[in-house]
Amino acid sequence: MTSDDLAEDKPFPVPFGRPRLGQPRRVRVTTTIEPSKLACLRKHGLRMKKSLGQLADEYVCCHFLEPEQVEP
Amino acid sequence: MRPPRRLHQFEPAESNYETELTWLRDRGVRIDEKGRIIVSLPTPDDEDELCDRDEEEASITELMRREVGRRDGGSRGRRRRSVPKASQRMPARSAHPVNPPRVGRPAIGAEVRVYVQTTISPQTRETITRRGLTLADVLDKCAQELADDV
Repeated sequence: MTSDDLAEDKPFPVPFGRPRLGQPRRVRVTTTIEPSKLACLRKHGLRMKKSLGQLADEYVCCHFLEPEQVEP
Repeated sequence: MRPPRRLHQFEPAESNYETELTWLRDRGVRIDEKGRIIVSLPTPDDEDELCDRDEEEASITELMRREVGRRDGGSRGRRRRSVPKASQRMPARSAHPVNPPRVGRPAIGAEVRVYVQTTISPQTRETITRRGLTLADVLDKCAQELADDV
């Protein structure tokens, strides 16, 4: 694996400074995805101003979590 | 009473027999006056020779077996790679299993996956771990939904 293979997906908006109080730290994850799906997700993410991780968060919230389980 | 007639057709066979005996005598086979092959056991001298040869071969084998130093490593034959201990094994790269490398040209419909690094919330990680999913599965499903919507 080279550095070119590992594309870093930065969240929108990029938080500067130290994390806000009460905001849980996000977990950095390395995963794999097919290029065509990555392109599709990136295109959607750019339009919605969301990163891949945020899209995944949203998908999990919508499909796997009950409304009362969702953290604000 | 008629004397037994000599059959001419046997003559060639007899001559063949004589030729064969001569051929055997020439090669050192002992044959008595009636044409019988004398079978003899090997003499003690011959036996000694045979034994010496066996001992010589045995000694060479023993040399190969014993006198080659075990520490030299030359007589151990093909070495096998020992199974690594649990502590020496490579730790899992990440929580998400990666498809093993495949040999040959790419199969139709299966793309080579690329690495992506992103951040997710701890709650998302817990949820997908609890459900036995990976982030790759979630992203695949998400992309699939987006493609279906379009």
